[in-house]
Amino acid sequence: MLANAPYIEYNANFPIVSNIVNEWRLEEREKTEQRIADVSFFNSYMRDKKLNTIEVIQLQSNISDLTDAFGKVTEYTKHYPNIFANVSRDIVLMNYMEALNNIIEKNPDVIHTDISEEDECLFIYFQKGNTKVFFNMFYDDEVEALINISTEQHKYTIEDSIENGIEQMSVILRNNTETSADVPRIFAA
Amino acid sequence: MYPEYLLPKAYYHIIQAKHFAENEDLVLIRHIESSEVKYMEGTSILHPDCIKFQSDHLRDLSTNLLGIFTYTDIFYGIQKESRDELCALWNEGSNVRKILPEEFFKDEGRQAYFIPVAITLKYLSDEVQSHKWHFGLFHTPTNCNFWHVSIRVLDENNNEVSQIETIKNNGKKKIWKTARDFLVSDIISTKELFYKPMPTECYQ
Repeated sequence: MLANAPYIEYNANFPIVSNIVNEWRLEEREKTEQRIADVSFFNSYMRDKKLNTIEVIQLQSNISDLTDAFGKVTEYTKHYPNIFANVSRDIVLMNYMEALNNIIEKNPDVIHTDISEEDECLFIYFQKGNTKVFFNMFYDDEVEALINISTEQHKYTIEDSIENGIEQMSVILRNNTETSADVPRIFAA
Repeated sequence: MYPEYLLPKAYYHIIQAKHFAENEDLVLIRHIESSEVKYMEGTSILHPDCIKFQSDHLRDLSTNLLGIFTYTDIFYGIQKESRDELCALWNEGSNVRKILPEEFFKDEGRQAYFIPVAITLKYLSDEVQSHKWHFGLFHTPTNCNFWHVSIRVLDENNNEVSQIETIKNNGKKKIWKTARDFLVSDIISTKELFYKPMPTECYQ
């Protein structure tokens, strides 16, 4: 494990409100404390990852994306607790970070354009050329991935755990890049 | 004045499913309330939030068939107090009354997206929850709009998804989410498409 893992500071990447606390800003203070806890969670997540130097460099280039996304997802967990059913907030955040980080690591050329919440799930939207990916995470008793991939030739739907889903998705994206000819639908659900 | 050409006439007939399949260049239009227009960040792809399958006893996406119904007709809406009567399904062969000025509104800030019928009906999916699904179109005229068409998500036996008891609720949500994802990625256009009206003999 390296000491220079790219931790984040309480800075502009995280929407930390002023630390000045007075009586009429008690509510703001609670929000601040939650955000500090979120940053601690993020740093702890990064610290626990065993990274080699290349991974650290790669991760540093993605850090802005990750922190922005992390800020968004923590907001969703506050505004839309109904999405997350029986799953704790820490598990939501951990799974989300694992998913986004793995996707970016395995597919550095995908463009991460959006994360959003819906009534029933949280999803990340990616594009790679003309390929469009909806990476949906459903929170029931456990977290399940539902990945919808639209390539020019085929439409794929993958239902699996987050880890397995990312593996299968990465193979489809890779195959689709290597040849735009007929890609076998090996992972079609 | 609410446009009279949108109202059902006693001599009209409900359009059969085969006419949607047989006629070329049919296009559906769906409005988005001005406050709800949303795109994927940095793209021109509509956000799935804009695709709302209404939940009554069946889940469907409410649209209108372009032809007699034109783009500017999306601006008309029915006031909440009158919806039960005017947005109820039309009884085939019956006359409907005129719509009074206080029963409707016009919102010119509404936007719209377009759904080509042929691509929608031919759309082939992967399995979700061990079910192949596809889109079905149903002509569902209401007392205020003969051109109302519902898009529903059906399984391989043409059962509407919310009616399938063997799929749990969470499973149904996954099927609808998949349908919405592919609607926005592959079918919907936010640019106006060329269209032809439904031939008169299909409904008169």
